[in-house]
Amino acid sequence: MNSQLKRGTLELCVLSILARRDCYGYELVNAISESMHITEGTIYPLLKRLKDDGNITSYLVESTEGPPRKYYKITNNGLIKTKELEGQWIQFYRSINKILGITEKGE
Amino acid sequence: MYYTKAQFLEVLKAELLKRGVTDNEILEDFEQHFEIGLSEGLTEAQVCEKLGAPTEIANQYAPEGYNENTATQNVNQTENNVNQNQGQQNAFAENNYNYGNANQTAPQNNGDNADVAKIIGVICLDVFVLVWAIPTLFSLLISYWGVMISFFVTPVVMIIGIIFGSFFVSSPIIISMLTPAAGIFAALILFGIALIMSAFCIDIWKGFGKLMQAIARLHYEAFTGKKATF
Repeated sequence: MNSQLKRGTLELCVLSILARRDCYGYELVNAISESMHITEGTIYPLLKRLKDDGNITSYLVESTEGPPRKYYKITNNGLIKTKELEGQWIQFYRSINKILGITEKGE
Repeated sequence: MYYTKAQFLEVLKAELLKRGVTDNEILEDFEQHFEIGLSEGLTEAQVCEKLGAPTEIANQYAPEGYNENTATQNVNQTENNVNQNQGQQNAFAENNYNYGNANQTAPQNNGDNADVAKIIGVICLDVFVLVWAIPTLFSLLISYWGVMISFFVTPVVMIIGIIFGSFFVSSPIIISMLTPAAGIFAALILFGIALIMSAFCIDIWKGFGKLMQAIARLHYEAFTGKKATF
């Protein structure tokens, strides 16, 4: 998949996973790479941006092996942002599909 | 290409510095990523490869308006530095990012540690409930199987007894009280019940096994504080 396309949607993917449950970075990477190939290092800058913007927060959890793990948790702002991006995404892929002549079921 | 964790982190640190990013947390995040990756059996080189180029990553941390060109010109220089520094790779490999403070910032401990209240709870459960519940359930299970098997065997014996008379098999006493037709009828009823019971016998057995597993897991988690993996 085109990396430019991915970059734009990765934010939505991360937020959407965090909206369901708290995750640590490595877990997020795994959850996403199950469905698509990503350059794993790009997740962390993204998480930092999301944190700086107040969409997510982080907390540490002691781990039985190794250092404590940093978990990320979505904030209320983040939830609003997720809904917003989700709406934009649906709008976007419908428009593109229309141009490409791909019709969705049920339309 | 980077093949070791220390190389990767060193280049990343240098590249971040060049972009005016001095946040130690970033390196901690990557350090943690390596730890988990290695604990899952990946090699340092594999983790590096999956992470991608440190220069790319550093670019994404750079404040807006940062000129990427000046940074990429310096990349080669940084890589050379890393090669020279191979001998003194103590920079990140042995660092300690003050993990001791973690407790203060971890209000949401997900019960990863053994906890006295849990242990007491589990012991109470054992002493007051499981000590009679498990033998009772187990004997119910055994008797279910016993009844089912006897309900399969009895009709066979009855019918053989009716057909061949008591020469071949000694008939159950009940046969002597029934007419042959009633005997066959009774045998069929028993056989029917046995069939119905056999429909559930495996599930009941498995259910008991699952229950035992769940109890074992509960004990494991309460006493070790680790997540049970069985």
